[in-house]
Amino acid sequence: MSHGGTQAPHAEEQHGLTPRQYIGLGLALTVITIVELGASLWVDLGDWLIPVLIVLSAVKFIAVVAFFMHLYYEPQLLTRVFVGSFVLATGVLIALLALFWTDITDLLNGV
Amino acid sequence: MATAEHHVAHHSVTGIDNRKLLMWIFLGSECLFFGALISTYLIFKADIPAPPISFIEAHTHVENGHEVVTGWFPVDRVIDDVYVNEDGSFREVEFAGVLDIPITSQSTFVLLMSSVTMVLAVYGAQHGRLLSMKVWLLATILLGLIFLGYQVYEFRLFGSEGLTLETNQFGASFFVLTGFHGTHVFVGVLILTSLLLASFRRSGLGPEAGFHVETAGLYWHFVDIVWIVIFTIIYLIPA
Repeated sequence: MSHGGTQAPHAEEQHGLTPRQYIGLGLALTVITIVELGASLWVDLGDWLIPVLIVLSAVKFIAVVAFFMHLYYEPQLLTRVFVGSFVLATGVLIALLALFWTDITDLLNGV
Repeated sequence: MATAEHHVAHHSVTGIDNRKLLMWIFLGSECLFFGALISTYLIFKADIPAPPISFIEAHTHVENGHEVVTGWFPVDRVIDDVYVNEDGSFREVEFAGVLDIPITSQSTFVLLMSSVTMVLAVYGAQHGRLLSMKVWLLATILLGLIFLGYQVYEFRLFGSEGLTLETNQFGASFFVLTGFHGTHVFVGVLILTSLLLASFRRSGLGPEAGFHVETAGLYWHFVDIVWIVIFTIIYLIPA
């Protein structure tokens, strides 16, 4: 996510978007939220619903982290710290769900 | 008040201000914290026992010719289902859950806008526009309080429907997850309020105003991205 990849000590002082761009990004995130609502409530996407919702929320997540939190402009070490933790948390989540949802399926099947 | 004023010797061997590095490590640990809570919610949500017949009988009403059961079910929409009576006969009913997406969408919008006002406050602080910083900080605090108001309203509504921490595993994991998030928002409001009050001192926030507000902003934006995940998982993805 980092912009340059070099560790510039004072890079944070000159980075970022302009206020107008921040407001534009906020509006874009609002539009994505409305699209999420539409996909969830008013449009029948069938099996595509969950992947679409996950992708849209991931776009919002990345936009906030990259631009509002300025991680895009920060040294790579900070990106590694945060993304590494996020990947670890996601891995724990997937492992737990795989473990417990298997148990639930077994129970339902009478295993 | 140029931004170059906050060049204080806080840089570590990594070349990064160690306070900022610590904040990102803290946010990384928070990822694991909320990851555990979200996992728990998803596991418990999938393993909720069917409500007892007495509950069904007490919470059923006829709506447009259909029997509708309202209650603490972890859904946001009406679900057609078949219920087995005590005598073994089948009975078609509709289950209407407690989650109210339109209301929660409003609070989601409020929190999203608070991220915009927060980043504008950071911009003001980093560019020496102190009045702008104070105005946007105040706006962020107010939006945070509005979000908390929505959460209190939702919790009270769910309580009136019979869903509490003790009702079932869904209630326990839901209230713990959203409650901890709300607590984080509250702590964020306290941090921003302390910054706003400190900015009215004669010396303001000092030469490192931009850094202080930016660090508080990191915490606030993190609270926002956690809600982005919670909103999708709890409210938008169907049961």
